[in-house]
Amino acid sequence: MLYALLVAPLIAALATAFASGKDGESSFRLSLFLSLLVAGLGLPLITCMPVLDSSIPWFTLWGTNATIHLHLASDGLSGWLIQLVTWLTPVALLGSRKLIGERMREFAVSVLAMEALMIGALLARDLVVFYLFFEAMLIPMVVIIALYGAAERRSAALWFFLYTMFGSVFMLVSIWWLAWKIGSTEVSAITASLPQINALLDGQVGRILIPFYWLLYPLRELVVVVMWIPHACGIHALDFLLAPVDLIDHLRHLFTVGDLLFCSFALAFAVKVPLVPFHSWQARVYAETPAGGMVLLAGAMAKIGIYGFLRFVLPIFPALSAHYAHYFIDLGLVAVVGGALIAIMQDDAKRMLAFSSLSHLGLVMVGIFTFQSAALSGVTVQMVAHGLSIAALFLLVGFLEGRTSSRSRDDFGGLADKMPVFALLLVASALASAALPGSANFVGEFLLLFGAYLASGFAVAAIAGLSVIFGVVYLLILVQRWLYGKRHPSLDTISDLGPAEIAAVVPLLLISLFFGFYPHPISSQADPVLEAIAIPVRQQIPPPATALVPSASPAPTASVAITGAASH
Amino acid sequence: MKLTFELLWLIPFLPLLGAILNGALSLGSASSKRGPARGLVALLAVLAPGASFVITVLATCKLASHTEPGNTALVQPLWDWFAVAVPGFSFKLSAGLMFDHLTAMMLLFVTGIGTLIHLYSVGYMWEDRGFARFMAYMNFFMFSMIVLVIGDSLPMTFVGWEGVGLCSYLLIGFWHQNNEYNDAARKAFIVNRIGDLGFLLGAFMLFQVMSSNGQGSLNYRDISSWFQNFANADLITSHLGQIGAAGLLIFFGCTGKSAQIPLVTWLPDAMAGPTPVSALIHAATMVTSGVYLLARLCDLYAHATAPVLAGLTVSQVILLIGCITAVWGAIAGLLQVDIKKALAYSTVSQLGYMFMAAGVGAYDVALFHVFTHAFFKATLFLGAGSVIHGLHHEQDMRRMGGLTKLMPITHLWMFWAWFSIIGLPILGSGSFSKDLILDRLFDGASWTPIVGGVALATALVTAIYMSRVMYLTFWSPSRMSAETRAGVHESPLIMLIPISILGFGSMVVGWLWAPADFGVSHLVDNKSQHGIHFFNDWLAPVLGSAEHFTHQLLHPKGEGAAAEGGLSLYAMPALGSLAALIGWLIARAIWRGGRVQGPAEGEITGFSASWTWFFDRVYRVTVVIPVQVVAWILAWVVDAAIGGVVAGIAALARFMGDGYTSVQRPRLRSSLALSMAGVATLVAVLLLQGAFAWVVGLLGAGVAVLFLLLELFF
Repeated sequence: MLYALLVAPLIAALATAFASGKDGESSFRLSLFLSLLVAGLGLPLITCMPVLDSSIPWFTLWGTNATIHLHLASDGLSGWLIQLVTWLTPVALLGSRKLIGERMREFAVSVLAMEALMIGALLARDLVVFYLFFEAMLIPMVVIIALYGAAERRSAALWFFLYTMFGSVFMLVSIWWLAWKIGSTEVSAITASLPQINALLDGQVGRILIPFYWLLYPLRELVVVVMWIPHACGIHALDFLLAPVDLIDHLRHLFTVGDLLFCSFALAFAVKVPLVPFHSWQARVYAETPAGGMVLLAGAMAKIGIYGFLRFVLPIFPALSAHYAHYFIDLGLVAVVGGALIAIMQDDAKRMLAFSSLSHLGLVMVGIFTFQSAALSGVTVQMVAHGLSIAALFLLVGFLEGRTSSRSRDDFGGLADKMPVFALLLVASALASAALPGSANFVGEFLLLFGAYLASGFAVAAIAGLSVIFGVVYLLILVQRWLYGKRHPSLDTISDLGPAEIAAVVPLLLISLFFGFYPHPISSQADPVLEAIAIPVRQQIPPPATALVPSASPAPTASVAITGAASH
Repeated sequence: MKLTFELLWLIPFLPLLGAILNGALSLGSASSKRGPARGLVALLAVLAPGASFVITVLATCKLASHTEPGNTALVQPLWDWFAVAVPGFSFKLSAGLMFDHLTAMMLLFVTGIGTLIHLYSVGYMWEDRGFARFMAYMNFFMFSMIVLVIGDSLPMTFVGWEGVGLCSYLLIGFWHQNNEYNDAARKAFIVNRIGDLGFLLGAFMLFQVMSSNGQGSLNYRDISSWFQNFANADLITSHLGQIGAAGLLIFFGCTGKSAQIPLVTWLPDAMAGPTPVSALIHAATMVTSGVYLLARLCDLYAHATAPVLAGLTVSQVILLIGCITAVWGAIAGLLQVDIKKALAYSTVSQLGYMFMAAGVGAYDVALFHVFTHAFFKATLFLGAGSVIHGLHHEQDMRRMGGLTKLMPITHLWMFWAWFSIIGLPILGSGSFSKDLILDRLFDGASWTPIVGGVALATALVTAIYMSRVMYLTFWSPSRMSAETRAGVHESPLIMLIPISILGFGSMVVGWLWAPADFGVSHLVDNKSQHGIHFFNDWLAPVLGSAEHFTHQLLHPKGEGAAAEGGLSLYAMPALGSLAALIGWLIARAIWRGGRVQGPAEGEITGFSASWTWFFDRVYRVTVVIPVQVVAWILAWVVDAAIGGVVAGIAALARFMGDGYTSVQRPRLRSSLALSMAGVATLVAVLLLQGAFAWVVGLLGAGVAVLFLLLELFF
């Protein structure tokens, strides 16, 4: 079953490549039909066959005695992310019909290949197999960016490829090291044998990252100088913004082998999500990628980075995850607030969405590293919800870009009268993305904030909750500038969305609406998985500091709580 | 006691259906010149809330027929929404509806007045191209508002809470060609969202308090029974700070929705919306949802007795905020020349009265004022709308006057609403509720009677500014141009019927709770000693426990309970009426001749131009500009610096790569060779034992792959 699901999109890609005619229409129809079939094939993972596991020996990794197994397994977490992938693939194809035009065949092949590779990465339970899929995903994505992107597509493709490749190459070495020392690269086997190699993991390797410290020193000083302003004003609630400084200072420390392994894994996934400060590729790549590619890139591929944290980093390094958790929470908060604020400043709608994505996924990272049950329950819901809403937004921006070849916030106005359907869908997607109740994003964000509050206290929840406010600001600015106000005469002839375009966006919103009121299908399957992942990590956390709870003392005002709990 | 009532879901669902159908009609006819058939749209739009009203009446009858003591409610659990797991237990939140006495009272006027205003809108908006869209928004607002009051838990209320905010946004910016209106709409939404964060955090905090003995819940019945449970008394005492903070945060959310200081700034700008919107959303229903939420959580507020802010308890904060807002709104109302803005001010001021009542623990009085205010303020707004409609979209009172004869029916009902709001007795419902508020304030502890004195003075100012509105609009010589005067017409029947019903309502609904009744109650019911207590008896199952608790705190020895009797019954009505009379006479002396301060024409400047001038400026300096500066620094300095570091590393690698490739050619082959060499080194090093070897290998691999990629791409 799992092998079939893995191979099906590949067959679909081959079929599209060889069986469809030269024209865009025929390959569009064939690929859309096949991708819908694949989506149907994936449904059993969340309905009748929630847990599947199959493994066959593949090859022996040279230099080690580890036998690599083509070990595929599915559970609630993988199952739901695979649904996201298989549902977004037909959406990406549908939304690209008009934009891509006659060069549809290569595009469809790339999209289907990427679908197969993402499914592979989500099913793999062997690190080497996972790594193969994880890296191979880049290739079709780079093809899509480089062939179908906007004006700066070549440089964007290069940025994307180099940056993400660079991020994960260290993980490859780490995987190899694990194979060599443990003799297996299966997650379950590594988790089981961790106690035996603890001594090895604790071996010190010296201050080897100190060159990076000096490289990043100017940045560190910049943050310190900027943060001097609130400090001079006596404001300490923003101290979480100093997280990058702590992180850079940490580069001077003595490192153990375990630290390095953890960092190399975390780096690979942090680049993919991305997490501050590894996000520099994001905005420029998102801006150049065609809408159909963005559906998969922002909608699904970013989630595989988060999935990597959940599936590999937390189980393999429970102690280190607990130890480093506060960095991730701080960086997540920086991403939440900073991403949203930077999004307000963006004129390019796609760049704005990129930073909005940074902000929303930062909140997910905060939720993961609180290891709190409610927050973890929100993680999966939010991943699915964000995938749906950001895909809808990127498609809509893409549709407008396709009509006018502009995606600037200021180039339009008064579109609501000329494009009522577009207006309705844009407002609905924007509100879903801003987590208005009724959207799945609300359930996700509510649970994430709730969990962050219960685990990390008022200050973390309040700062993370600023996304509730700022998220509305930039989206409403976009909505107002585009849809309302006076219309430029050149836009008088613009046409409203066609049936294919409507059919691409509406299902996303309907699914989001459904999960907004009934997230039970997601949480009932994914929660036990995440809970099982979190338990060993939670055991590594020292007993919670009771100071976080403003207790019996009669006068802990809200403002006292803000400053008091900032030092979690 | 819980009873099930299977039709409960229809109350919110029918307006939702109306919104969907009208939305579809609006979208479907987007390309046509005139839009969908107006009759059909109007029928759907009015029938939907009308049917909800009928079902509400049925449910109320069913609720009233159960007279067992205790808090009876009709409930309808719908489905499991989500679960919140905390160490020790998991709280399953079910989406459900609850119809208790409080909900019944709120829903009766929300759906009843709502239906009338929908009817009025049919007349008011008939000619607008966006008629169907407007009605769809209005129906969607009804749905959200109903969910807000019928939801059985904080998250359900939050669904409606955000929904009404969204509708408010859509309706303020309804005429969206005008960017000023759009700005006003956006401001309303964002300011409300700031409050919403307080709502969420407060809910989290409340849940955490209740989790301390494993009973964390967000369900209203659970919350009130947790606080009423004597077994929890020690827990409550030990968590007073947190309970107070939770109450304060939720109240912060209420200040957003109900336009109180500090989040008051959005309401005046909200008058950009069509007038029926101002009547329905920004006067009668949505803005009162903050008072509803306080009443809903009255047990929380009654038990939050520890100081949380500047040495004040939450209730005292509410009292003070309400008082300041009431005074400020009344004074600002004096300075307006736009008839709608004058009424908007008045709404803010009256909401302040409601919060004052809630601040002294008199939640039933606060709700009574919500109830009477809904009638007379809706009448005033609809009347103002009728005037604006009759004068062809003239809103400036400087160019009105002498309309009494031209618009007799509008004038008649606006007169009775004016009679009510300034607090003239017997035939004005406002006097009943306002005098009760004054009575509770003067009855309070320590400095509360001072607030009562301020509230009484504010009642005087209220009489002045409302009489000013009436004089400038109706009772002064006409200042209209001859051309306008010729065009003035009384509004169509479809608008006058709702005005008449609401106007009549504002005359009589006060009699639902009349402590000083001049002996009338003896005609109705021989048993009652003093007055008619229908309204507060009705709400007692929900609010009684909290009010009893507060009352015991105020009067530990039981005195004061007997104070209701004798002359003091008539003291407050007499004082209130006196204030109203004096205010009226002052206004009569000043504005009888139609004199207006400031320039007679053109733009208004200074304070009266923008009554939130002060707050707008302060927020601009303390919030908006700092956020913009931080955003600017983040976007163009910090983010650019991070990108610069990355680009610098890449450039360094590229430089090295170029330097290397210029030595050896062909590029690709040589670089591949280098890469292979790199990998070989890596393998070799890794085969040696030791951590240092691992590091060397790691760096080697990175460099090798980087070179390979650079070669491939450049």
